[in-house]
Amino acid sequence: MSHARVSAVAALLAGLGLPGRPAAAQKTALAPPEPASRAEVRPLAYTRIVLPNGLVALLSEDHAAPLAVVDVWYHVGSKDDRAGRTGVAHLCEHLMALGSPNVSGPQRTLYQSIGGSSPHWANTTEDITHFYAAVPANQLRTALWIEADRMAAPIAQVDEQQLDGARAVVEQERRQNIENFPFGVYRELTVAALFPPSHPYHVTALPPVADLFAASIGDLESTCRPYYVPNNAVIAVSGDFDTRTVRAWLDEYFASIPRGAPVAHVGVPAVRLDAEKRLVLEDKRAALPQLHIDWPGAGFAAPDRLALNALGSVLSLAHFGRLSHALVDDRHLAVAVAADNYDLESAGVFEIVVVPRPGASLTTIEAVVDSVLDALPASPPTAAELARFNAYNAVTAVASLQTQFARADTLAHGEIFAGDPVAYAKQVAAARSLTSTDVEQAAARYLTKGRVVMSLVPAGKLDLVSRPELPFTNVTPAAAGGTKP
Amino acid sequence: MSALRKRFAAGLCCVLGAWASTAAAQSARPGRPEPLPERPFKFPHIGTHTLPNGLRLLVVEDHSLPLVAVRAVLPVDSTADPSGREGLYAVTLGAMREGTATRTADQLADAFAELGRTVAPTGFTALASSFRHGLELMSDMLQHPAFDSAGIERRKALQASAAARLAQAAVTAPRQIFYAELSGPSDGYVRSLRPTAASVGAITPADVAAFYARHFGPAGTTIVVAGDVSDAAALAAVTRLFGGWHRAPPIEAERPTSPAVHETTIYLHDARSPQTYLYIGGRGPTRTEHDAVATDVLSAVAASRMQQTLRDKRSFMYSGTMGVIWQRPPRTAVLVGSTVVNATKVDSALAEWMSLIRGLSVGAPTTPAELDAARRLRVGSLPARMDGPDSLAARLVDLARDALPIDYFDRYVSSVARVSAGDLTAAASKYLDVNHLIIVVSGDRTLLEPALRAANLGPVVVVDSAGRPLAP
Repeated sequence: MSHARVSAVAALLAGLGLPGRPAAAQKTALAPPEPASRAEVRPLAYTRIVLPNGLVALLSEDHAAPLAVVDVWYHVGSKDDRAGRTGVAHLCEHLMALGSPNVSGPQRTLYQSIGGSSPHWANTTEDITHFYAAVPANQLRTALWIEADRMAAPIAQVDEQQLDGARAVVEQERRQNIENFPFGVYRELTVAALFPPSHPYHVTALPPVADLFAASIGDLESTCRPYYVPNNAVIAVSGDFDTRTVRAWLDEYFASIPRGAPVAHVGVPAVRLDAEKRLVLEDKRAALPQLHIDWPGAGFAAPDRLALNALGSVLSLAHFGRLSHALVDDRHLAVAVAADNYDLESAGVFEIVVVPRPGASLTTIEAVVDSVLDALPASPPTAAELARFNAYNAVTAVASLQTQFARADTLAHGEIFAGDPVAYAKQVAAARSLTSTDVEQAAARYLTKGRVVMSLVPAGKLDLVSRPELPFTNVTPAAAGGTKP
Repeated sequence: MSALRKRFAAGLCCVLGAWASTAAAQSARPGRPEPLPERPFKFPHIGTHTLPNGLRLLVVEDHSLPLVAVRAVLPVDSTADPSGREGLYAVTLGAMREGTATRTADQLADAFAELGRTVAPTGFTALASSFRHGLELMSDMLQHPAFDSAGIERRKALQASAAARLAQAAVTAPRQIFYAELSGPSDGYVRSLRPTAASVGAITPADVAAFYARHFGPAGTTIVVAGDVSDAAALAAVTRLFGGWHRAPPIEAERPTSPAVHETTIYLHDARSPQTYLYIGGRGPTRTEHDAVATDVLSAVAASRMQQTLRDKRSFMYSGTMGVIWQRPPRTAVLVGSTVVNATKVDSALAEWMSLIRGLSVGAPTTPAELDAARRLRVGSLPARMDGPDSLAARLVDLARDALPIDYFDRYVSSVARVSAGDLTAAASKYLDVNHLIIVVSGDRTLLEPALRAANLGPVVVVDSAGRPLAP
């Protein structure tokens, strides 16, 4: 799942915390501006360079502030993990961050010593691994040197002690970011139910760590190194620099890194569920239930992705979405609803999340959701609903490019996932051509009876489960303290 | 050959190639380059204006994207919630979005959809072409809220649900305990951290109207605008839409009390969390005090040592922070660190962390290399903190909320350059005194209590989620 998509549900939950007579008559209203649904989204200006070793560089100059971001994407993620070695791609990210032949100690420390900063320094998803930092513009050359040194000899400096330490930190990361949150394991349980065990997306990037302790340094080198080669990487640089100068630095630091063998990326078969799976997740720390309904969705480059994004808006846009209206405004059953297609590179997840009002029945909520979905064929999306989707889509596309980090990320993402660094701008334009029929047909193709319905309830509160008369599987991990035998 | 086999074969092939190429790459690597000359940092020009009704306007032009970010810095926040009505500020702001004297909630939602962006009473980010329209919606909600009962009830339901979800998060209890020990349980900030279903349920429409009448008005309010709009256009729009706002000056918030931090104590909270939260810290300076910048640089050194020891060397944690949290004057800042560790490692991690903190004032003062790195980090990361309209607006909010001089960020850079290692030692002695720290440990008591008592790092007091001591 991309960061932006993952954050949608977090934003939904966080947003719940947001929070006489007029002193004078309202002044004459301004004429409304041109609707944002028709606003032009200009693609970022950038220069694309391909070095002889296959490294793709995307350079986007912007001199607004003395800042430059270096963002190196490797096309390897958890979907490339082998059976019995889950979590290895992520562990390799940690090992790659412990130093390189000419950088003793974590690259983070060196970056900070030159004024560098980063939200996380590195990240591994199902599809990619990337390392990123912002530096003062005068330190950009050093940043490129650091990243070239990392790429030139991946995992060359690791010994057994460092491997043990990295395993412990990854274990701690999982505890901190997943297990420590009420219902924090819901996502990995959802994708495990949506995608069969042999499927590359069956396991997430930060799974339980047991496999990591079976992996030796040799295993890791043979598993990871083939992917950390220039012909499997994209370096995006955004900010205050001169493109010709940076081009020369790229030649100086990266061109001598040998091309690796061609990388064969794993095939991702299409998935459809034959029947509904009903799951229950309990958590002893939770006080309130939630209802999640998931279907296999569309990947980033799939033709139906935009139609599913539009469908998400038709269903859950605040105040107007059909589910929002029915559950939040009309029936007062929920405080918030989110629906969207979360796009991975080669598959997706379409998810509806309902946060109930205290005391509301999940069974009633599920019935309302189903009645709204069942009504779609007879009442397809209207032009007004599509216009609202396009307005938010266009403005979000512009607003999400404010920072140099975002610009570098967007260019690299487009290059790797669509072969086009500014694919986002073209997709905003393409979304304007969506018709009601496109969205209705996508809904019919994806939102089928084969789905995963998960009731998330406080431990022991199985009476809160949606439609408890139907058979369900209790997927509660032992640590969450459920009633599962 | 199956896809999996093809991949495996390709992988083997690459490994053999990579071993050979790695050695070649290492021997041929160029040396670390020298940095180019620094470009002096300069915060963008800030247009400052004050309307006759007292409303202040700060504007920074940034034409790199067709976007504009607008924020209203109000003279009130949730620390003004009356006792027993915690959540009132949030409900009041939410109720403003439920309709105005001339627009229903549906009409507001329609207008937002035209802009492709939700507008809140406290701000929005939208296309530059929508600036004036968005500002009009914002001013309407701020100046002419309808406050009808149905809208207030809807917002109460949202706020009660948010409070319940906040209460179940593992981080909530240790944070509340830390601030309760720092400022006392009745302090406004401490109470603002724990709205409950009961406190939200007790809020009446009359409470909302009275809170609005008491605290909202042009005097003490600052509108900040950053992005693709000219200073003149921003001033004209704000004057047109807010110039007619006349209300009595807001009543100043009560000055918070600042009880002394007593001797270092470990407050142990029995949580159902599988992991243990650690909070360590104490009171800091206000943002305009003479040692505020030194304290800020000190926190960078403290955070770096924490990373290097607790993560890089000992693998106790995945991530942790140590920094200064500036608060709205006259509240002083809080200098606090937090992390999450495995329960079985808490005694060792805490002992190491306290040793690091002790060293900053006694025994292991900041080295020249650490000082240089901390200065570079603080100054070097400034451009990233003003990257784009939202970030620029956030910095202007800092200036307005914390009553800082307009040239604060430029002065900050020169102040950081003047900070010495001795200044950091003095700040550590004053604000990170290892004998006067508040330490909160939240996790599995059965594992933690024996280990903490055996480690003898300080007196251990078992408390509930509000910080009240429990009977032994």
